[in-house]
Amino acid sequence: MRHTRTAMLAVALALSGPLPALAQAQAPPPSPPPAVKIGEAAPDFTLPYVAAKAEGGFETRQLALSSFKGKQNVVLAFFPSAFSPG
Amino acid sequence: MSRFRDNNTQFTEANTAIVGVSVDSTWANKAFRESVGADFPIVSDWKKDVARKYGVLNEESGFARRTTFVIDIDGVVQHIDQDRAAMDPATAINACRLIRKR
Repeated sequence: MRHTRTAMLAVALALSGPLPALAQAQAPPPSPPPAVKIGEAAPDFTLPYVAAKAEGGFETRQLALSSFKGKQNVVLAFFPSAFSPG
Repeated sequence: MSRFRDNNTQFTEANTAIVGVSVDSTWANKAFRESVGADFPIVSDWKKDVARKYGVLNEESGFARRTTFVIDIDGVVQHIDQDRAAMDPATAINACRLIRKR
């Protein structure tokens, strides 16, 4: 019984995600909400990325947000830095 | 980014393209994209102009706050997730599905 409870606690901890202390260390400092709000036009931009070429090798391409207009929705996902978890 | 990779099919079904953005170099983002096996572009906001314009740049750290903007086919923002909420793409997927139904 005791083992079962320990195991259940371990599972609960694993499911609860990062330990609170760790999560707190990772949490960014409080800051204002995004400047762009719901219902507003998303500001256009053009930014580079490296893409694989069909014939092999890589090339730098430009991605314009406006290129999706009238075609697809876009999920624009800002993240802190490459190799950050999530 | 791996959570978005795992759910890319659901975004595709909702006619939605994923675009990752960080202030890292294009080559760092390429290496990162390959390491997580993401099949969507991760663009480099190396001048931090875009993060600043969207109001998601942490000026102290110089990095963007984790923030997801769902932008509809007309270019209008329909949904925003930030920080911990932005770790889970589920709400963003729902927002994309709602756009599709309109």
